[in-house]
Amino acid sequence: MSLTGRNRRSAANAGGWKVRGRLFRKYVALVVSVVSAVLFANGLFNIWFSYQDHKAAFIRTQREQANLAAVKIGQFLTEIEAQLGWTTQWQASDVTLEERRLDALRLLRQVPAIAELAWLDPSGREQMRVSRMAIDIVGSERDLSSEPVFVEGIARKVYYGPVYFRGGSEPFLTLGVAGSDRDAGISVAQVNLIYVWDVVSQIKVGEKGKAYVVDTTGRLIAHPDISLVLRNTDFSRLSQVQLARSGALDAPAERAQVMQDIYGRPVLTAHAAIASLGWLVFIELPLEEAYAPVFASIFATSLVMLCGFILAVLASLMLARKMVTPIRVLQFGAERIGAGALDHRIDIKTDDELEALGDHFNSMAAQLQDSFATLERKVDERTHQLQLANLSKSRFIAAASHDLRQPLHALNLFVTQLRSEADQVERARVVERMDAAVAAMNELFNALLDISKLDAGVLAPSISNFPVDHLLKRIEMTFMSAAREKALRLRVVSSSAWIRSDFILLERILLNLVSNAVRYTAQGGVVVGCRHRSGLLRIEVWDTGIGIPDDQQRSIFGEFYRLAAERDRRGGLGLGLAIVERLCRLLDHPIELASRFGRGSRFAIAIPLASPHRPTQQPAAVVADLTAGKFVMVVDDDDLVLVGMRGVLKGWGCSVLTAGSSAAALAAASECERAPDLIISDYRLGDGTTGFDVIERLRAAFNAKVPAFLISGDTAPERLREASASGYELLHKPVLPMALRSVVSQLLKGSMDEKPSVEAAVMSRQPADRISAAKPSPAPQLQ
Amino acid sequence: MRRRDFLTGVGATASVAAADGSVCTATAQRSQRMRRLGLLTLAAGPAHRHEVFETTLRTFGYREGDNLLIERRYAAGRFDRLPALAADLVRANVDVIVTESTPPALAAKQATTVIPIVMATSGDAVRTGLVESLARPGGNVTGMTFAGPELVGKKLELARELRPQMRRIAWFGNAATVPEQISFVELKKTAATVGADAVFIDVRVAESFASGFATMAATGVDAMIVAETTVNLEGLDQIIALAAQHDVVAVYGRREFVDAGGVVSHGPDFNDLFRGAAFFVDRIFQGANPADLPVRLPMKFEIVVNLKAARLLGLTIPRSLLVRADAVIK
Repeated sequence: MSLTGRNRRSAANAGGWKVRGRLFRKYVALVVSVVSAVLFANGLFNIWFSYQDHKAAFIRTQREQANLAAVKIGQFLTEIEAQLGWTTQWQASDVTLEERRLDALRLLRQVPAIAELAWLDPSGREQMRVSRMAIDIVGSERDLSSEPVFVEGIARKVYYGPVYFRGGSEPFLTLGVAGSDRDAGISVAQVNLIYVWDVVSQIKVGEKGKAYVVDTTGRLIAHPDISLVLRNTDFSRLSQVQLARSGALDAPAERAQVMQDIYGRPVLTAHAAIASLGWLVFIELPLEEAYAPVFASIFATSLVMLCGFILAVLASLMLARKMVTPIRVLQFGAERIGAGALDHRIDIKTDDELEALGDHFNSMAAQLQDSFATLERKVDERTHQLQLANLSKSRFIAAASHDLRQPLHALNLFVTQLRSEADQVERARVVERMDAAVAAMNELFNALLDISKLDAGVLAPSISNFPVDHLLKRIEMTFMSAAREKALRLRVVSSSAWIRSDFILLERILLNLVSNAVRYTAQGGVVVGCRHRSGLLRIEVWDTGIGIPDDQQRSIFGEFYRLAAERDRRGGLGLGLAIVERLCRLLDHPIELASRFGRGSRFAIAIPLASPHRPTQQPAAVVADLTAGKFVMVVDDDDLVLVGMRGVLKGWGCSVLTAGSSAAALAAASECERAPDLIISDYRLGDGTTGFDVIERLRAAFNAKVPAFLISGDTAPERLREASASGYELLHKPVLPMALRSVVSQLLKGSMDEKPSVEAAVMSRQPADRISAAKPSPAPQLQ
Repeated sequence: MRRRDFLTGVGATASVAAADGSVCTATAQRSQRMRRLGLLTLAAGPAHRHEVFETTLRTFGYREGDNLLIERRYAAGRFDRLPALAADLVRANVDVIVTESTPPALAAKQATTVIPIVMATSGDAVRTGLVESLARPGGNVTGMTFAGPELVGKKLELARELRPQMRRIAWFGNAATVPEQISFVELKKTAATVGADAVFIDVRVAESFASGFATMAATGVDAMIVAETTVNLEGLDQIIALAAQHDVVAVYGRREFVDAGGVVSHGPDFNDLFRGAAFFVDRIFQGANPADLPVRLPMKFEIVVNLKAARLLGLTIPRSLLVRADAVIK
């Protein structure tokens, strides 16, 4: 069933982009946090490791560069040294001074760094000096034998003097190289260290890094910024210089450090020593440049992380939406179905468990829909049935009250007649007639009660096996005289079969059937017989009466239905067949009707067969006269009833105590010397209490389980159920005296006697759950 | 080892390596403000060395017209005009004054003690009182200097190489300039050690060249040292001709003379000095204090010999001179 337009829009909203709600937020938050955590951790690791790598890398680079610079500068000087070595090839005596001078001049041209070149003879006297600026001096014989350049130069072959500054600013160095032979003398050059500055300036350290040279005293010799050198800047204060000079940083790992430069800015420095000179070459790289790749890496990583985070958010939004949408569709659908829109169908196409769930929901909704439809239909049916039943009940009451009026009206007339009649014989006759009227009323009331009991379902059939002949004999006896009166032939065919049924109820059925047969047959006869049919015994009642037309054959089992033709005849109400039908249903004995209008009818009941067994003992019913001398208490709010009861009971030899209400009863009870033998109470007493309560209180008051029973004028099914539930016998007004006596006797007998036989029970008992026998003969009079 | 190209390399490096270690990338950082530069010289007009100066400034990112304004003041040999010209530059509110040779530098220093002054060339900046010391100039003057007096001895020697029997040597320059005075003292002392005599021929203007030579001829001067004054430089052809005419062995201070026909010169490369001056100008434009910028000396002094001129003059170049010549013009 497809979604209606409105439903579809609402469902779409539930699953659209504007998905809100806690579940969605939860999923988004979950995915985003998971992905972000991973990204973040990854990013941090990356940054950390990249930092470490970078640091290691540039420390390594720095150290290498420092070494390289040291090598370069060392080489620069070594070259000069080598060049100088050429000038000490000869022995002092081998060459003239002039020749030496020329040689020196050539050297000056070769080596721009040498500003002055002199030659000391083996005795340490200066014999030749050439200069770029000053005048050349040859043969000056200046005694320099005690100078360190001579002393150490001769001793070690090479002498590097300390750095001195000409004019206070230009750095120079005295370099002495002696010949291999002591006789070669020593060449002494003044090296202009501005050329070292040149070498140092060429050394490229990153973008903004630099190299510089510091001499043994910590004085700056060469620096890319020559001004610093010329200005005689003291670098010895720098911590890296101090540390390097002290040798504390000789371990290779420590050779690259983060320190401050001369301007106080943070730099990464490394150094290497030029061993022969004792100079230190420093490599310096601004820290921010050193760390630039790290920062770049951090930036890149952060950017990636940010992008990743954004992607994660987007992805999580999409993912959450995908997950939440079907759930929301489900939720919406469940809401709608729960709200009663059973035609709403959930549309989920995610090809997973959610889709299955949606389908289940849909089938559930469909079933609910069906159920509702069915229920509604059934409700309608029932309502209709109830309406019909109500209608029929109203008709029933109307008919009943109508049928009651007849005998009552007759009774009125008879009573009036009796009052004024003096003739005894005539009075007896009137009394006879009154009796008949009462009997008719009794019959009606009994029939009503029976119907009520049957409808209430308080009848419990007592199934037993018995020979069907017993029943047949009783039927024969009951209707013999009546049949004779109407000049009808009554034949009851005996049978030796045993059946399984309720004796009394079955008797009732047959009584009614035969009664009807007799009533509606004007001539001819009634036959009652048995037939065996497929394991069942069919008891058939044939008559040659008026018959029942085909179209009415079903309806005659309805209450008060009587064939139109018989309406105005005397006779009972049309309840007989209704009772028969109910009883048959109760006993589950199917009843059949075959009839031809004008010819006769045949009713048949099918009853299950039973195996015969020994006939039970049938002691004669002994109705002992147990009533004499007993003390009976009667409670009823109706004075007439009380008077009547007192009369009857007294006639039976009992002593009677009456009370009009439960309070009166209790009050009277307290004055009694002994407990009564029997309590009889009306079910519904005027003051709102029930007979049940009264009996219980009286029992309590006397502290004895006094036998008791209830009488009621109420035939409503509820009362019957209540009463049977209470456990006390319930008789219905008007009570047949015989029934009254039987119950009274029974209760007075108490539990001392043995259990009576079925028939004895039939004869002696008429408890509430038994149906009264409808007898065509007049009932005994109420005394 | 490098030779001639070394100097250019040096000059280039000098201009390239800057104080705080940051390599100056030419255009980017310089092109913001309009800088004003004043040039004060005794020359009559623009010369090659001035061009070199401006070229070097361009490598630093200062382009005339874009972000540089140059106020040129040529005294054309008129010393008396220097103060006025200097004052003029001061009034023009230049950021730096660049001077060539000592007299303009002195005039500029007279004119201002605030505006930085860069000496492109000067002889003995310390003894002329332009700076306190080479390492720390103090004041507002810095730049290049070339210790003129120290070079006297070498020049004398070169004169003796060409004319071994030299008896009297003249100093051909401006007696009013302190460095020359000092140089002359040095000359006299050194000459005495080789048994020669020294005279000062004072030629402050080109018009007095002829009379100067006449004096030299009259006094039996057989060699002379031509001072590196702008006046001499501007009148170099005249001097060379006169020297040849009078048969006076002339030792010049810069190779321009030798290129033009002189026989021998000994001195720094003045183009290099101007390159160095540009370096100072750049530092000052970046905000350096001239008092903190040490004065620099030229790294190299070159000896240039003109064989052709020598032949023409009938002079023989001894081997010792040839050996030490950094450049020989054939």
